[in-house]
Amino acid sequence: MFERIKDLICGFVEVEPDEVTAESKLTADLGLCSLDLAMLSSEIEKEFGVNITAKTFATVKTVGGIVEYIENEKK
Amino acid sequence: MLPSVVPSVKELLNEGARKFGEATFIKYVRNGKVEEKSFIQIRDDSECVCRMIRHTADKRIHIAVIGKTSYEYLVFCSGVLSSGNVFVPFPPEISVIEAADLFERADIEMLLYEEAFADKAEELFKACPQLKNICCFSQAGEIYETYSASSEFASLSDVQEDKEQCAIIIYTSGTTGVKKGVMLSMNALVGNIMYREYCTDIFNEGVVALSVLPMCHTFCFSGDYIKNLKDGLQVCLNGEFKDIAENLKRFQPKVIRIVPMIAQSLLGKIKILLRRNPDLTPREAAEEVYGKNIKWLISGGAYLNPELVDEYDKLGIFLRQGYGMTEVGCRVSVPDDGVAYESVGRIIDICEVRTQNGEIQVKTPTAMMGYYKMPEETKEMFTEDGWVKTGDIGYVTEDNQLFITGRVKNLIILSSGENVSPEAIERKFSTYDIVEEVLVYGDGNKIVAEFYPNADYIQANNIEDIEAELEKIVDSLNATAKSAHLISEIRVRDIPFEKTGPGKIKRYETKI
Repeated sequence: MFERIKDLICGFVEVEPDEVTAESKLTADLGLCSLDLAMLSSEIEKEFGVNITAKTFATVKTVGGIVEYIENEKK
Repeated sequence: MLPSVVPSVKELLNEGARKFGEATFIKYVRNGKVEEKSFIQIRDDSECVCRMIRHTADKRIHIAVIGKTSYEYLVFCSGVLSSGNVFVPFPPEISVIEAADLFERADIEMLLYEEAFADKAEELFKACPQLKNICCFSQAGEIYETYSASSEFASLSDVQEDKEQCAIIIYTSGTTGVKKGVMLSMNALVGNIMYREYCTDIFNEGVVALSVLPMCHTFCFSGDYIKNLKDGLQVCLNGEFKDIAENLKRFQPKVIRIVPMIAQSLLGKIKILLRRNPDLTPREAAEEVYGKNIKWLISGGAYLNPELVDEYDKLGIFLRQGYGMTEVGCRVSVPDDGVAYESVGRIIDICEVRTQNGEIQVKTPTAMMGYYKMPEETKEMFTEDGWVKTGDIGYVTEDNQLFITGRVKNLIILSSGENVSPEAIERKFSTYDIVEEVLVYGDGNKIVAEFYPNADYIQANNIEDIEAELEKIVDSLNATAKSAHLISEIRVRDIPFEKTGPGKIKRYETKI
């Protein structure tokens, strides 16, 4: 799942996939703006069937945090 | 020049129904399906809401409308505006505490709201003694039936309109943080869209527009709704911000009103597509993201970087900006493909612009009537000879292009009497990767630039003497700057600047 989330993120911002780690912060490190986050939430909803809103990213701040959030939601 | 008679929203709805009839005006996605409403339909539905309001209220009242952009939101807003009452929009994310305060200050007696606001509406109904009626958009179907043109209430939609009276109060956040209610008459609200267009290929019958910004903001309501109603465009409602990528593909718009952040974000997607698919032309990549018909992005609300404009020009998309403020009825200048990238557009023919001590001042028949119940603040906003003080610094060229260079309240006034706009200097640093944040201000008799450097850039480039690196940049900028604009001191900080609510750097008090 981490690899797929990484792919999705790389569709929004110009970063090399190698630069994206579980600890990468979505805004501070990867430069995702609020619209990027909103569109990312839409892609995640479609792909993983979980509810995630742009507001979720106020608490889920890293790539690893997204993976954890999806896993918890799917339980 | 304004026409001698400016139509009301009610008259625009009737004219739209007559001219464009069953053509689609509003399009949106509901439960996964695209729904369409014609010019006739929105006129008829708005009249039903107008009748309901007039049946419920026995006098002219102030009516709050709260909701995200939706077909019902537009119908309820139009119903209020057609009923001769005063329309007061608020954003759907408003808290109960703030709404209760503003409802009291705005004398709100009726609240129309979307279903998601229902719990807050109930709380407000209990907390606000002057609030007598509340009605949810979910009752729309019942209202259309009860108050139809064939009902006993049919004649209630015959309203004698006084277009000079206050029609709308829009709360804007002032520089002091206290929200002020801008009162506009119907003549001002609709008059502001009756200017002579510079670009004749945008606002034409049947052109598809995507509406992505909140309708409770003047820029969007005046443009995406009232102006597009007058011009006969097809308005597709984006709904949730996160659905923008899907809706661009679905609706294939030709024109979109945006804020710069949207242009920046979607350009990022285009660049990634181009990198991953070297065979694509820039235009093909742009069409993958924006749809094949995209031609115009009209930006407002924040500074637009000219480099972004240049990048969009290369994609065959005109990204241009307009300028205005609610206090002048909305627009002062509008996009024109022939203007300079740094310009905020060409001044419209219903506005006169002058500069006084560098400040942009505007005279227009669509200016506000004043701030509701705030006579002192109203007086401060106008000059003695009736011009609106925008608080922005800028200049006008001979061919009527408007340029904004900063804010009056941030102005550095040197002991020589020269005025320096710090924003104009700060922007020059935007292309240097080493600069994460910069603030320019006056201290004593000198101009200081204080930097928060970009740690990643410093590490990646093994920079040891950060100050020396920044000094080189400052020296190169000073070499071409006016003598009054020379930066004479650099300060480097190791923590980011304190920010105001919307992420802007909080400025220091200028000590000069």
